[in-house]
Amino acid sequence: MARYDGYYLRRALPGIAVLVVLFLIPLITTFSYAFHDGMRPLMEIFEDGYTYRLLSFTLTESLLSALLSVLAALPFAAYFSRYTFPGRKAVMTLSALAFTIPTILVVLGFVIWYGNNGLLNDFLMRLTGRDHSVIEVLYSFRAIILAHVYLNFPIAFLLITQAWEGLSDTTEHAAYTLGAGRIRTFFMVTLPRLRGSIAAAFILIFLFCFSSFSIILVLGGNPAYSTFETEIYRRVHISVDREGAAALSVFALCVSSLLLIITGPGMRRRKAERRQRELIKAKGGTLAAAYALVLLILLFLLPPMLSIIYRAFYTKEGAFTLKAWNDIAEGGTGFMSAASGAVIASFVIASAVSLLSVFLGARIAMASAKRGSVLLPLLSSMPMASGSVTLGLGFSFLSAMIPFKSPLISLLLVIAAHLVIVLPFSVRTITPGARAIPALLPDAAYTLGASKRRTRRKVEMPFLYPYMRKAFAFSFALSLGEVNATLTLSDGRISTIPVLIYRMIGSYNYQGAAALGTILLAEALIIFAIGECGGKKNGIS
Amino acid sequence: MAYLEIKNIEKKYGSFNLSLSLEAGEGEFLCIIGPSGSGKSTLLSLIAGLEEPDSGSIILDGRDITREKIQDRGIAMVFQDFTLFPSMNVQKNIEFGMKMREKTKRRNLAANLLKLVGLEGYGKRSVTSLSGGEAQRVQLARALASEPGILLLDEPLSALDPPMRKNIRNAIRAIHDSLGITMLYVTHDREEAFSISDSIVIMNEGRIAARGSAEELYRHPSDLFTAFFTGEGTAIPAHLVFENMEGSVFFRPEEATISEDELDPSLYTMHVIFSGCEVVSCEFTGAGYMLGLNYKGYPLLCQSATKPRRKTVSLMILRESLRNLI
Amino acid sequence: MKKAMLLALVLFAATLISAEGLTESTDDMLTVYAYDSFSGDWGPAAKLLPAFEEETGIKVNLVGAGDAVEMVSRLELEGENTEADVILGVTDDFAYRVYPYLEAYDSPYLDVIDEELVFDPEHRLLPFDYGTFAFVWDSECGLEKPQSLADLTKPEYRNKIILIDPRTSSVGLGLLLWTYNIYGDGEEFEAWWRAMKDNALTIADGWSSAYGLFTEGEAPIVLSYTTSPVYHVMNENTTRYQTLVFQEGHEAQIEAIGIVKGTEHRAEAEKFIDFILSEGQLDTAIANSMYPVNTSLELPDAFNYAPQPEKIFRSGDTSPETVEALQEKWISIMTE
Repeated sequence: MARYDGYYLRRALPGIAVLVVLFLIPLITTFSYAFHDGMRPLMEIFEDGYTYRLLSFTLTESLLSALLSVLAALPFAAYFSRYTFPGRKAVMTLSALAFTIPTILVVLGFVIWYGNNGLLNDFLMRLTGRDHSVIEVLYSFRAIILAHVYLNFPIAFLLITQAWEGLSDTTEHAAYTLGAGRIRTFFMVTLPRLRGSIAAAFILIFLFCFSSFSIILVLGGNPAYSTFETEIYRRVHISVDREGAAALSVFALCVSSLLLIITGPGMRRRKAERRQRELIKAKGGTLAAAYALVLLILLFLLPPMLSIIYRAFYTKEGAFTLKAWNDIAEGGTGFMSAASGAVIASFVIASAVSLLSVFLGARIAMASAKRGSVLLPLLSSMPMASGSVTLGLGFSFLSAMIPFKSPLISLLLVIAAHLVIVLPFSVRTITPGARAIPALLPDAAYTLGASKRRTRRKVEMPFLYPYMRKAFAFSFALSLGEVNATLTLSDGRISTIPVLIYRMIGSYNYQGAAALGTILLAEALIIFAIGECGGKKNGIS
Repeated sequence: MAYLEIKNIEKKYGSFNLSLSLEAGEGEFLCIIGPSGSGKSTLLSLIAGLEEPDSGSIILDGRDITREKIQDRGIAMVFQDFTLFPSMNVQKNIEFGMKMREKTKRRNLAANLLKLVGLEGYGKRSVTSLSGGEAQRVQLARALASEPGILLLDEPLSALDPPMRKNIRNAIRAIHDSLGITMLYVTHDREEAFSISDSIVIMNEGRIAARGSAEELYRHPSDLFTAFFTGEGTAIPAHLVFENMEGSVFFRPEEATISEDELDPSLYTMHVIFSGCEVVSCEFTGAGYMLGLNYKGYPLLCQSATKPRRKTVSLMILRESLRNLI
Repeated sequence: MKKAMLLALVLFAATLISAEGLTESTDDMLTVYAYDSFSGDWGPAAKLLPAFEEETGIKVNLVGAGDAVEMVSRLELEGENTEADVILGVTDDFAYRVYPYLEAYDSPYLDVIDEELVFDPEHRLLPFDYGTFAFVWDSECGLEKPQSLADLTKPEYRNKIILIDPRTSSVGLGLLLWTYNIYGDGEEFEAWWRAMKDNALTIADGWSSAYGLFTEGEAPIVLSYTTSPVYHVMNENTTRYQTLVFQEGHEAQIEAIGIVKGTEHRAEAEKFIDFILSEGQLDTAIANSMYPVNTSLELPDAFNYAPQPEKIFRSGDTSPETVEALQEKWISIMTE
C-alpha cells in the first residue's frame, strides 16, 4: 500500500545494523565456539546435571523476584496513576534512579544499610538495647530477592503507572453501574487491561534477574545460589573452558529467548485509548494515603542510596571526614586527574551513547509501530535477554578480532558496546510514543500535500519527544553505570566513574568509592531531572 | 468532460468488492451516502490515494492521478476523527498545507479562513482545547488552505451533536457556494445529504445504486434499496394489488389516505384501496400521526392528520403513486 | 532535536580530535601488556615508566589488558597477531597457558631472586613479585585469635568468616589450593570446607566485595593477602587489622614477566625486564602490596605489618586437572 512502502523501515536500518553488527557478530563468534567440534561442547552442557541445577535456581530466583517486584508495584501504581499530588513526579524520578547505580554500589549500599553491622541494625540495637544485630537479612536467599526487588521495583512501578495512566475509567464505571464491587472490577476489568504492561515489566525484570551476578554471590552468601552467569564467568576466567562457556551462554540465551518469544505477543501494547484518564488532585484522606505510600517508597529506596552518600563523608566508626573527597581532589596517587578525567570520559561516552540510542531507537520504534511486526522488537530485545557476562564474552571475542588499537578505537568500541546495551531500552521506551500516533494523522498531512519527511518531522515526531527525553535520560544513566563492557573493551585506557569505583574498592578505598558513587548519583539525578522536567513546551504528554 | 472521472475502479478486501464508475462536474457538491460497509469511505480513500485501487483509473481535471502520490494529487480531506496536529496551534495547523511561502500572506490567509469557518481569533489556541465542532471547522479551514482541486469530506459531522451538525453543514454549503470548489461529501445521514447537496450518489455493497437530485431519488427511486434509503415507505408484493405483476409495489406514507369508513372501490377508480387494515401502532410526529397498519399480514405505513378512533381502517392510494420496484 | 544532534556531532568531533591527539604510532615503541592495576593511573607504571624511558630512551606503549586472567586470554586469542612484546603480571597458576607464546630470557638479575620463587626452570617467565594469601582479622572483635586453618573450623567462629568464591576469584582459588596443599583432597579437606558452611558468613564473588564487607564490620575475619594491613597502617594509622600467620604454611601467588615470541624489540624487551627486576622492584612491590622477589631489599616500615610466612606453597605447582577436580569437589561439598 502507498502508506507503508518501507520508508520507516529504511530509516530504521542504521539502528538495525548497529544491533546486528554489535550483537549478532559477537554472538555468532560465541556460537562458533559452542558448536565447535560437532556441537560437542553444547551436548556436554545439555547432558550435565549441573546445568539443570543452575537452570532451576536461576528460574526460581528470577521468577520470584519478578513476581514480587510486580506485586509490590501494583498498589503504588494504582495510586500514582490516579491521583496527582505535590512530590509525585519527584518520587517517580527518584525511583528511576535506583536503576542506574552500579551493582557494586547497590551491594555496598545494602551492606552499609542492612548489614549485620549496618546503620539500620545500629539504630535498632540502640533502640532495643540489644548487643547483637536485630535483623539479619543479608547473606540469604531473602537478601537476593530483597536486592532484586530494590533494583527492579521501580521498573515495574514506572511501567505499570505509565500504562495505567493511559486507561480511561469509563470501562470501570460501566462495571460499577452493573453492580460489580471494586475488587471484582479490579480483577475482572482493570487487570486484564493492564496485562500487557504487567507482562512487559515482568519479563524485563525476569531477564535482569536471570543474568544477575554480583548480588547473588555476595548477598546470597552460599555457593548453592549460582546462576548461569556465575558458571560462565568461572569457565572463562578460572577454568579457561571457552567452549564450555560459549555453550552455556548459548543454552542460557536459548532459555531467555524462548521466554521472550512465548511472551512476545502478550507484551504487544494495546491501542492507545482515545480518552486518557485525568489525574485527580488528591485531598484529605486520599492525600494522606498517597503520602503514606510515598513514605513507604522513600523508606525502601532511599536508605541504601543515602548510605552511599553518608559513607562518603563518614568513616565506619561514624566520624565525619572529607578524606575521600581530598583523595579525589588532590590525592597524591593521581586520583585528581583520574577522577576529573573519569567524569569527563563518563560524560562524553554517556552523551554520545544516549544521543545515538535515542536517534536510532526512535527510528526503530517508528518502524516497528508502523509495521506492527514482531521481529523488530524481538531483535532489539535480544541484547537484553543475554546477560552482561555473555555480552562481555562476545565483546572480548570481538575485541580480539580488531587488529590495531588506539585510545580512539577503544573509545569508539566502548561507545558501540554501550549503545548495543542501551538501545533495547531506548526502543522500548520510545515505542509506546510511536504507537500513540493516530494512524489518520499522517494521512491527513499527506492529503495536505506534505511529504513523508515533513509529515514525520512536523506531525509524528512531536508525539515521540517526551518519550525520547525519557529514553535519553534512561540511556544516559545506563551508560553512566556500565562497567563490564567498558573494562573488556577499553584495554584499561578509558576510565569511567564506575570503573574508577571498582578500582577504588580494589585499593581498599571504600570511602573514595562511596564519594565517586555520590558523584555518579548526582550526575544521574541531574540528567533525570532534565529528562523528566525539561521541554514542557511541546504540550503533548 | 467531467472534472472528476472515476472509471471502472475496483478494490477487493476479502469478501468486500468495490466496483464502480463515477463522474462529478466542476464546482459540484456531490454527496455520497450509503449504509456502513457500502464502500463510501473506501471510495474517498481511493480518490485521496490513501488506498490504491486494484484496477481502473481516477482522472481529476484531465489528469490521471490513479498512481499519483497522495501529496501530488491536489486533493484535501476532512476526516470524521480528530486529525489536527497536536504539536501545533490552530494557525500553524491551517498554514501546514499552504503552498505560498510569504509569512504575512500565510497569516492573512489563515485569518481569512478562520473567519470563513466562523472561528475568528482562534489562531493562537491550542488544538487540544477545541470543542468537537470547532475542531471540525479548523480541519475544514486547514483543508481549504491547501487550495485543493477537490475537497473530500469523510463524514465530517457524525461525531457531533445534532444542532452543531446543522450549523456546520450550513457553513460548509455556504463555503462551497462562495468558493465554487468541488466537494465530495460522504455521509450516512440522508437528511444531511438532502439538505446540503446538488447531487446524491447512493452506494450499496461497493456499487452505485442510484444517482440524482434529492427530489428525484425520493420521488422516483429506481429500486427498493434506494426507495428505503431515501425515506420511509411501504413495499408489498405487487401481485396483491395488480394481477400478473412481479416484484413489489412501493409508496411513501404521505401518499396514502386513511378512512375510518368502508370505501366503495367503484367510486375511486383512480385509487387502489386496501380495506380492513388493522391499526397496530400510532405515533405522534408533530405534524400528524404515523400509523402502522396490518393488511393481510403485511405491514403498511401511512400518515394521517388525525388519530383514528377505530381499530380497523381503510387505506387508499392514487394508482400512479404506486411504483413497481424490484 | 536538530540542536541536540548538532551538539552530539560537536561533542563527538571534539572527542575524536582529543582522542586522535593521544594516538601515536606505536610501531617503534615497546608494547607491554599489563593487568589493569599495574597500568592504572595510580599503579606502579605511573612512576616507573617515565624513569625507564628517561634512562633508556625507549618509548613504552603500555596496554592495560584487564585482570591477569583476561590478559592471558587476550594473548591466547590474538596468538601470533599480538602487538605485545612483553607481558607483565602473569601469575604462576596460569603460567602454563602462556608458555607457548613466550621466549626464554636468562636475565642477569635472576641471581638476586629467591630460588624458591623461580617457578619456570626454562626462564620464559621471570618472577618479579609475589604475594601470599592469608586471613586478616579485626583484633578488636573480642574473639580469640585463630592460630591455624584448623582453628577456623571452631564453632566460636560461626558466621564470622568472609570467604571468596574459587569459581570467580583467584584469591578464592588460592584458598582452595591452600587447603588442598595442607589437607590433600580427602576427608580432611572435605571436613574443613564443611565446617566453613557454618562459619562463613558469606562467600563473596571477589576480593573487593569480601574486603568491603570486612571493613564495613560484617564479620571479623576475611580471606585476603598478608600485606592487607599495610594499607590501614599507612592510610588510616591503625593496627587494628592484622594478618593471621599460620605455621602450617601459606599459599603464594607469584607474578611474573616474559618476552613474547617473535618480538621485533627483543633488546628493548630485555632492558625493560631488567629494569623491573632491579630498580623497579621496590616501587612495584609497594604499589602492588606484594613482596619483591629480590629478598635483599629493605622494605618500608609499614611492611612490618605484612609478616612474611615462613613456609609457602606455590599455586603453580598444582596441575590444571587437579584444580578443575578440586573445584568440582568444592561445589559439591558446598551445595550438598
